[in-house]
Amino acid sequence: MLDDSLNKEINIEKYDFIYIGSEFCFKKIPSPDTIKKINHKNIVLMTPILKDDSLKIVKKILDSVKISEIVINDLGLLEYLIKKHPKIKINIGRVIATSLSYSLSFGKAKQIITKHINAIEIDSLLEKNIDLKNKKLHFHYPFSYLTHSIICHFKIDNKCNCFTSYTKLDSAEFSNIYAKQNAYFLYEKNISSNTLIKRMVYHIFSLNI
Amino acid sequence: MKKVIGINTYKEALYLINYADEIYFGLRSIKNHRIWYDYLNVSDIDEAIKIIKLAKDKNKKSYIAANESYSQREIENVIKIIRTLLSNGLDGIILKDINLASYFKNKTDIILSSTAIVFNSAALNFYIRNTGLNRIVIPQHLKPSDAIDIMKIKSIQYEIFYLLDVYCRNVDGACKFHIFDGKTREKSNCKYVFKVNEKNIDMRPPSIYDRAKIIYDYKKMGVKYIKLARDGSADYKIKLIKEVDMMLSIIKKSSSDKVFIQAIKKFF
Repeated sequence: MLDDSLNKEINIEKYDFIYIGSEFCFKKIPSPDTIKKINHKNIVLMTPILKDDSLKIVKKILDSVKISEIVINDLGLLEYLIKKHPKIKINIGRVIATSLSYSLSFGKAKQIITKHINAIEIDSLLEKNIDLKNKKLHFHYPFSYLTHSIICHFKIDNKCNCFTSYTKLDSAEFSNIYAKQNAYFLYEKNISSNTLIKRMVYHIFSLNI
Repeated sequence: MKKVIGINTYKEALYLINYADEIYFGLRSIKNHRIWYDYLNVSDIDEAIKIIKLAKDKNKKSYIAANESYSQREIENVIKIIRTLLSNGLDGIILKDINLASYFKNKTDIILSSTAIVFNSAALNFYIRNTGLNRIVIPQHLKPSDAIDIMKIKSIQYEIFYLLDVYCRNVDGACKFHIFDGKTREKSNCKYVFKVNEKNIDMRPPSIYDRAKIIYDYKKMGVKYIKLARDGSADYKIKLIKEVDMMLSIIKKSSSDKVFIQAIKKFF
């Protein structure tokens, strides 16, 4: 998982896949020009919940840059991908997987959503709420998604002022909560032994513990 | 705007029914978005039926909130209970589960819960096609200026929460912060203030004036329903109902949003 504070000395070639963008904040979606500059054969574009204006921008990115795999957190984007970009592999992101959870494994939801997807992005917390026997899982580590806000309280004078790296939040009540961008996470060291997990997604590059 | 009031007991329904245009309730035996608090759910099916019949007698509509996602094992029981309630006069379901909606599509009124992740017109059309929904409760984090394309869809109706009382700091329906460690705290987790380098960090909602302006804008855009949540005592809800009536009256009399906010500042 690359982010906007990426250390340029990291050799991305040694990783099988490179995740860019954000599952939580639209402002962290890179421009087509930035994506074109990333020299890696397997780029995975992460996208968040989208409003109409940001959905249009993501569609433009998809129409102008070759993306082989995408993480979606918005069903408005799903049909566009199926119709216009059938070759792009679609992964269900952690935000929408939290909402859809068990419903993905059967019935109408399976028919209209799960049938079209390549994998589900999960983490330690989400794993308990997903019940799929025949879909690949991509395990995000070591931060599990807790929550996020779309009304951004980190904005100052209309400029983003959020944490660009995982930052520990001090509290008497909680000992392992971190914030990054507009989201909160639980830091957990446990790695799942689920055999459906086919990929580990490390969020380590900008850790600020 | 019609007032939709959350009800937790038959006694409360008797107290509030004359103030409401519609009522809704959760049931302890059906997982819903107040799963953490038994007292915010009607205790059993018999009490729910009494509430539904009371609403019918008063010519008011009643809805059940079944707005979580259900496993294959859970959904059979959910469907069975809702069918029983519908046969006793329930008018519809507030839901987000596509499988549940597909079962009841064209059989009753379907209201898409704000806990469904619908922030654009394509996502709304996806749900309309697949659930047959008649109304959507607009997510609290979707500002009126971002909902213009959504509200061009005229085949359904729109509802908002009374945002001065209810405003989740986080995206409703995709939040595990409340329950991730199995503890239900007196203070909701999302209201905790953290510290980073001695600086306070918390997820703050917009100011009450910004939230009042959201209600003003949505009213002007054609939203027909305003919802008062299940939280709080019956007396607290009466206080909120009076606030809503006052706010709607001020909107009606205000020549602009600025005039409206100036008027609101006298009361809040």
